Amino acid sequence: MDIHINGKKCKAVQGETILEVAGKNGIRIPTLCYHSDLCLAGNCRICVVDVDGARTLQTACTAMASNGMKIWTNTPRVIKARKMNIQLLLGSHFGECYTCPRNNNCELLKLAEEYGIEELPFPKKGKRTRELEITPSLTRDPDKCIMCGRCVRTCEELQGVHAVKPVGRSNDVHIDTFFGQGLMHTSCTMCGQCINRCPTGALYETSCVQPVWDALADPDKYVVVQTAPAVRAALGEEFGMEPGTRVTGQMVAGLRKLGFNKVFDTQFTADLTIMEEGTEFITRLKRTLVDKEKGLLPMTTSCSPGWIKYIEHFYPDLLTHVSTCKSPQQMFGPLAKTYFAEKEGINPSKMITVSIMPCVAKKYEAERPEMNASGYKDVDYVLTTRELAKMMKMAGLDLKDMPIEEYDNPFGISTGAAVIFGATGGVMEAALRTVYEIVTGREVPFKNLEITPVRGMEDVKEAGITIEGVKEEYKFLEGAKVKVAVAHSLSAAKKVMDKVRSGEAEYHFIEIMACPGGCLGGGGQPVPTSPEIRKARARAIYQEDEAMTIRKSHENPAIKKLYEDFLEKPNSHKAHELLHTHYLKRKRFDKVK
Amino acid sequence: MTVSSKISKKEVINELDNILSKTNLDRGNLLCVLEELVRKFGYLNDIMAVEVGKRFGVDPNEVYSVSSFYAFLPVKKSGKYKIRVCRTISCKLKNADNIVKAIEDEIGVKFGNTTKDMKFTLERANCLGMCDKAPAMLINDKVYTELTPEKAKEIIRSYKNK
Repeated sequence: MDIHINGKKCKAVQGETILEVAGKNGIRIPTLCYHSDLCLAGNCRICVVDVDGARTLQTACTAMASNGMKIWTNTPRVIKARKMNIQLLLGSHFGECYTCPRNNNCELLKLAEEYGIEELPFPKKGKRTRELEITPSLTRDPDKCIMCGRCVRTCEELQGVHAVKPVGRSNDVHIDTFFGQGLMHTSCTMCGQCINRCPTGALYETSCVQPVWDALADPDKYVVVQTAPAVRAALGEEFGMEPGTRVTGQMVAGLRKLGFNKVFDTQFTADLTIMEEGTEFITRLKRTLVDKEKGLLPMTTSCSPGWIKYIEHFYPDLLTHVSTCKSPQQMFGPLAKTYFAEKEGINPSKMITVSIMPCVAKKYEAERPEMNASGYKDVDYVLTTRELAKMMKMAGLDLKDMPIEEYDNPFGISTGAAVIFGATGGVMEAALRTVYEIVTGREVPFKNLEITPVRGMEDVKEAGITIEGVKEEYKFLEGAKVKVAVAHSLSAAKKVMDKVRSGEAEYHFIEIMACPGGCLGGGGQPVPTSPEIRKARARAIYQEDEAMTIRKSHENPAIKKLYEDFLEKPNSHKAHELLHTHYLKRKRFDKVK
Repeated sequence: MTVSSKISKKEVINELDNILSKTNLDRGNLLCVLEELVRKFGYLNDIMAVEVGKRFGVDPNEVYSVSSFYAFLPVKKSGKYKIRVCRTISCKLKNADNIVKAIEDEIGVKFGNTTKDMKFTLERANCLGMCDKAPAMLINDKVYTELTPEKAKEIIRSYKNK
């Protein structure tokens, strides 16, 4: 069908909104409560347009295009309404832009600029009316909230967690937790997806920037840093680069300039995770197939702390299915403070371990009381990709000007299998590359080692791989078809775990990441996010894998040496002490008696 | 209606069984069930939200969010007598604010609060539909109209010994 926008004839399909048709035709309509990852809401009324024959202005994000419709996006009536809506939002928005964590990256401020707001005809909220809520991972500032509802929709649709909801009515309405009991007492998974979608500074990570500066400035402290795979595929965005720009070497150089004593790579412990988790998987297969034990399969991954907290709250009955391996971040901490400290003659009590993560749940994970296998707090501070960018800017560093440098040894050596941990399906692919080869002595039967069925952005992916020609000690696996599933986002996790609970699932191994796209779409990554941005970051991750000389975790020479010198073999007693953990059964609401 | 000081999970489950024996679990009945619970317990608490959520297959936080929208589904424990003074324009023009002040004096707590003995909660309500007889107020289910500060005080006193 045909519709006219500003006099231009545009093709439209049944079921398309005015906003979608306008977008395809290069006509910009401003939005605020709309987000490409979420369902339609139509509550901010910034996208209003004039439609011939309609009595009132229509919200372009929710109004469907119909044949012959004549739409005007820039009439004086439209401009006046949008302007007044922005003024009303600004009036109820507390705080000054220069002290806001979203200074320079605020959608409300951008709209104010776009519509030339020069005065506020409505009284501005002059003082705080609600308290800040601070958790180890995220901070909520309800006074900055403009009630667009994106966080609510994120938590509900994307994650199925329902941690926050609109509460009250009219001018009292605000976003809150269950009976105001607070995020720490409800089932918030700390994934931080709400942060990535908040248009203002109402949600942000709880910052660790200052204590890291303090540690760097302290001559008594030996400060080592680890960087997660997904950070290198997104950090550039904070410096104006296109999404999908790989900045690994520049980031390493920048970290060195900030003054870290050693710049290490979480990918090293990602390779180690594959060794530990792959071995655990083979053991679980044997115990199930040979010893007929129950409750061990399917095994799920344990790298994503948002996923861990989710299963602890929502499927506490299935915790035996979760791999006991710590996440790569938490494997790194104890190894730095034991193996590395011994080797270099550093007093571990003087060592500070910092990690750069695409994640805010990692902050919560580092604070878990059991994470002290080294005898000290294993990971002292966790910074998000955004916080690292902030530190670099404070130090006058522009990533674009940085030379390309290499990670330090020994924890800087990694493989292509480790870098793909940053994308959904990556842990599964890395594990299969290793497990298949351990069991058969041959490379996994996929061209160029690329296990394409587990790649891509479909919310649940499935694959099967038949194991033939096994080595003598793995005879029990001859002819077995190993079925795997990969899910990203917690609503996708729910689909898979409901099947596991009902016994309907025939999987052996499941990879779950709490965030859409995997870590590359994590709650600590640059804002904004969209399906296109996440695809671009995934491309960068897979390019990085291709560019690596070693593509399989078990071939990482530094990992082999670590086992020879220190850990003996995968799943050894020592490995269990330092690299494995246990989980907690949690209630949905721990205050409900 | 009684206002229970402590409500056990068992009591909630019993009452829900009772209510649901007369109504079905269609999502459209959620509000009716919440109203019944308020009639029984005086307010809605977290235990009720969890149990109602379970029965309806609705997230408990959604139940809380819905309840919080309605003035007549209180999500906080309130007094035995809930005084609601109309705050809409006709009553306001007829000095409803003075009525609020008189009641505040009489019960000794400010608007939005509950007396220590859990007898009275003072709140404001949207239009009660009594504009022609403004100003108006509601005490639990009973409407009082054409109020003056003195008349309001007298009505409150009559509840003190009830």
